[in-house]
Amino acid sequence: MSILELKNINKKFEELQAINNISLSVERGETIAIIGPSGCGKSTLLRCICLFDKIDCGEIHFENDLIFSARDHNHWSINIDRNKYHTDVIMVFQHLNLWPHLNVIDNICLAPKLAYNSNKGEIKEKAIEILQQMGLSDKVKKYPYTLSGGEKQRVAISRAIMMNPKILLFDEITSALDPEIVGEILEIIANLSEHGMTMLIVTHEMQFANDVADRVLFMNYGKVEEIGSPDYIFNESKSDRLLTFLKRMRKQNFTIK
Amino acid sequence: MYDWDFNIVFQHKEVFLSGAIITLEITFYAIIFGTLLGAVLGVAKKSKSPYIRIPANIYIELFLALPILVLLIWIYYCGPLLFGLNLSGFWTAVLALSLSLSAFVAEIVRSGLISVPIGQIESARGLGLSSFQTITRIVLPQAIKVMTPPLLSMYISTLKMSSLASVIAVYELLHSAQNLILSSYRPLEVYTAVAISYLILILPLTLLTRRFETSKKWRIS
Ligand SMILES: Nc1ncnc2c1ncn2[C@@H]1O[C@H](COP(=O)(O)OP(=O)(O)OP(=O)(O)O)[C@@H](O)[C@H]1O
Ligand SMILES: [Mg+2]
Repeated sequence: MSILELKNINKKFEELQAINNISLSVERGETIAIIGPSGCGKSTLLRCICLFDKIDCGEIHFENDLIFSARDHNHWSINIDRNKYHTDVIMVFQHLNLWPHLNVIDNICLAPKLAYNSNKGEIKEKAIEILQQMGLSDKVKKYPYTLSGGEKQRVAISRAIMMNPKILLFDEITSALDPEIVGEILEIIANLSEHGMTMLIVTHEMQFANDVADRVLFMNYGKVEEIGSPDYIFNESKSDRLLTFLKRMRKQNFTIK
Repeated sequence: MYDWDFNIVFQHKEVFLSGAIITLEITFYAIIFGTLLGAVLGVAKKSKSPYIRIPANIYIELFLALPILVLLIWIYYCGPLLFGLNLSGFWTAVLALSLSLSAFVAEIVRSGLISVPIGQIESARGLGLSSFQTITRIVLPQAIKVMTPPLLSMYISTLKMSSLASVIAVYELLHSAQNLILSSYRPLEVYTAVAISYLILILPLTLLTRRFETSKKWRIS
């Protein structure tokens, strides 16, 4: 049964059709990797799903409820408590956006403290446990500016996981990191995937997409150009645009087996 | 060689003390009103509605441009005629300083608010914080850190500018002292004492500013 369903969604920025009639059904526990050239609308797709960008036309269903629908730019309706939705569907940004005035533990505890009525001790216990799993036990009281890129990334992921989200959206979270650290972040995501988290992951790491994703979605000019199993996308598809894209990625030293 | 004699100052301590109290009172009220008004104007300046934004901008430009002394004298002499204002010298000084300060505060508040990146707000909303929680928990703490040093230096400047109230016969520090000179013929000692009094009043504020500027608990990475 699908947890998230997009029906014919469209998004324009002035004359630019950033999302062009995309339909997509995401199964519970599924990991979808989203690939495609720069500017094809990957970030916009994620931003539309978590309602940061408002679609102009189409429907978004979440857990079988129609939560957002639009007929055109001026006729739209939202049928869910936004704050509640944001505790279920969480996006982790490339630029992380950790809150600089809060230390690590406060960064990851603030949102659950405000959203849920569970007691503070419980939340803190859970936070400590997650930080431990993330290898951040010694950073609990540190402020974000003292952390390395990889550590910040792990805090951002911890902050999202603290909410017990139903869907995680990752937008190129490894592209600002040194190559040595990329592996460790990808491992964390692979681990989440194994534990049944539903995830949409925008990535430039083709190897990772191949290894971790259940399905790979190739976007081009705001459209879903190809979608299918990693094997289909990386070995079988005959789509010219996909082949050109993959060839270019290979040239940039991204190895694909 | 001039024969310094500071006895006159010590004999009339109470003149300085009561003057300093008036100076502090004027400054205190001006800071309260100026900051509140300035905060509202700073938000208004960011408003989407031109009916709010444009008047706010005109107000701010006007009071940024007017010298406080001119404003003070103008309100004192023209206020009663034009607006039927019937303010004492004390409240005229508070009004002029508040109006001027509010324009500067508006600029500081606006730049403080826009210094918080949009991504900070999105990550807060994206984790289920309401817009009110986002403002109080995420935006304000960061904006206030940016705004505090320039605000404190405007407050210091307001304290100094309160001495202008002497021209409309308010018995603040400077004017009280000038009065003392008339009876004692000891201008050098008295003015020296005035200068030292202002330094003493301002010192705590200056130290506070330094502390904020060097505080390193957190910073924007
Ligand atoms: N707020 C905006 N206003 C106007 N145009 C925008 C806005 N956001 C995105 N766009 C445009 O929409 C298109 C899709 O942008 P998007 O950020 O989704 O691309 P992307 O696939 O994530 O690219 P990249 O891989 O470089 O991150 C781009 O052409 C971009 O310039
Ligand atoms: Mg992007």
